[in-house]
Amino acid sequence: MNYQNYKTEDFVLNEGFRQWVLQGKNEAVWIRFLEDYPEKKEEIQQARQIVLGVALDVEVLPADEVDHLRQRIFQKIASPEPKTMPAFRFKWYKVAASLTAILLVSLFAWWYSFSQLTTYATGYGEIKKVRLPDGSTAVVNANSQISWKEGTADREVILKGEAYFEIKKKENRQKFIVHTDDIQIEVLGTSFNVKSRRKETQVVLTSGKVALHHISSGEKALMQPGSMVTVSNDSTPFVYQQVNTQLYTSWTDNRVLINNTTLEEIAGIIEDTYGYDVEIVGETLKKRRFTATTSIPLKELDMLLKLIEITFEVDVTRKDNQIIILPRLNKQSLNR
Amino acid sequence: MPGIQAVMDEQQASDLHLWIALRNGDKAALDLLYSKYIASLYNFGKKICYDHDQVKDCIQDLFVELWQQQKNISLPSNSRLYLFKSLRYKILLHTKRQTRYSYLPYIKAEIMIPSFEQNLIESQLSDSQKKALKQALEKLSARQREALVLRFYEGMSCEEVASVMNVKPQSVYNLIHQSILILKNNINTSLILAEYLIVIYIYCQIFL
Repeated sequence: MNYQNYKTEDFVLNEGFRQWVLQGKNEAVWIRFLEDYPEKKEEIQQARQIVLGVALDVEVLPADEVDHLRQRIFQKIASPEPKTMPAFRFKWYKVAASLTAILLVSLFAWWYSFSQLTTYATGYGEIKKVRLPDGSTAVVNANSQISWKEGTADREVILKGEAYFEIKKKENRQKFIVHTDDIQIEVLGTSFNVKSRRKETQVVLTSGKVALHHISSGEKALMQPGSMVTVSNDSTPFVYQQVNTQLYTSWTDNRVLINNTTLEEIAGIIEDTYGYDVEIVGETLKKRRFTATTSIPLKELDMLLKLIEITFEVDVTRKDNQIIILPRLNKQSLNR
Repeated sequence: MPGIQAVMDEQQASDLHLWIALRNGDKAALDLLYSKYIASLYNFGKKICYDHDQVKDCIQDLFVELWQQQKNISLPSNSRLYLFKSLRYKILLHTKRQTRYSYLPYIKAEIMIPSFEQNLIESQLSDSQKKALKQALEKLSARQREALVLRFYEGMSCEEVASVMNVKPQSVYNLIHQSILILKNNINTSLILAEYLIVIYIYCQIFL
């Protein structure tokens, strides 16, 4: 025993002392020590209280809470994500599935509607003769497009741009229908020119009969040969004119007929056929009309422009995508 | 009763077996580890964090992560130390998130459900002594209490306590020494001999 010099704190820190206090180990040894060193009694009492006090300072989790916490842990382990997560995921799964379904259906619809359409399109300066499924023909002018549903008995085409139709008459009197942005043209057997450009459709009938139906206003008209109807895609009424149909169909032979035609109209033809921006300087020049004795070939733009220069006595300059038509200075002064 | 050093080596050995089983995906091993350490971990957790639910949440996280990371967890040489360190880190991280990092001053209201041993201990102290002890314990800082519970309740060596508290062993010595001096100066020292003899008598009744 060498505890004679021990102070309270030394007893507390002594493992043997703590074991005696807490577990009653070596009881006899410590009792004898107290008998031998009664002056240590107070220190030992203090140390005992401290040891017991520290041991008393215990936080106990009640048994039911121990089990509850155990359940919580094992529940979390069993389902790695809390219940809200699968529900959340399921929602996303649903959304994804419906989106995919919508996408697939619309994709199929798109494919179906377009796969059934046969389309012919022409570039600038290109004229194409198309044989339609019913035996009719369409001459498609430059920068235009004609399409129809394949595999149906319908005689219907959709036209963007300009085309000249020669429609065969059917024995069962089945109608042939041309759809443009503005009108429906119903025909039995005939030849006619349709020009649907710049928010305007122009129909020129060379032979037979056609019925027009304005899509937005509902206006109907029956055309006679040699007439022209101009329709805009707003609800303005049809404009009727008697015309020399040759002027409007000459393009099918790659020629342009100039007969009392304004320079502005010719510029429009160049714009539609070749894709240039044509600018005419001067209002009087725009409205100047001209009649050529022979038709002018469309194929050669250079030659056409040269002819315009000569016949209208103007200066024509071509730059990039633009054609500028200027009055010739000396002539202008002469005109005045 | 925790603090029985003699059983410690045996415990370390069985812990190692539990840990190996855990790494092999044995849920029973996790269950055993939980049963074995829940009391100690909770007691320790409550010493550094006042919030009962927060301590429980951190213990839950500790065991869930232990399971989720079972494959990556290396076998700890001392599983008890590992668990205490992990829990301490979690609680401090949690507290940091909520408030500034600080030990919350804490006054223990009463012992909830005393076990047999605690009944025994309680029986050795008079009510006035218990009151005095509680008042003395309240004078300790949270860090001092933390050191005391690890050292005396868990029976850890000062080096182990230092490892858990992430301080130098000398700091642990100092903390514990200061604590004992504070307790010593604050407890009622007038324990009468008669009282002492009764205590001895109870011991004899129980242990001899």
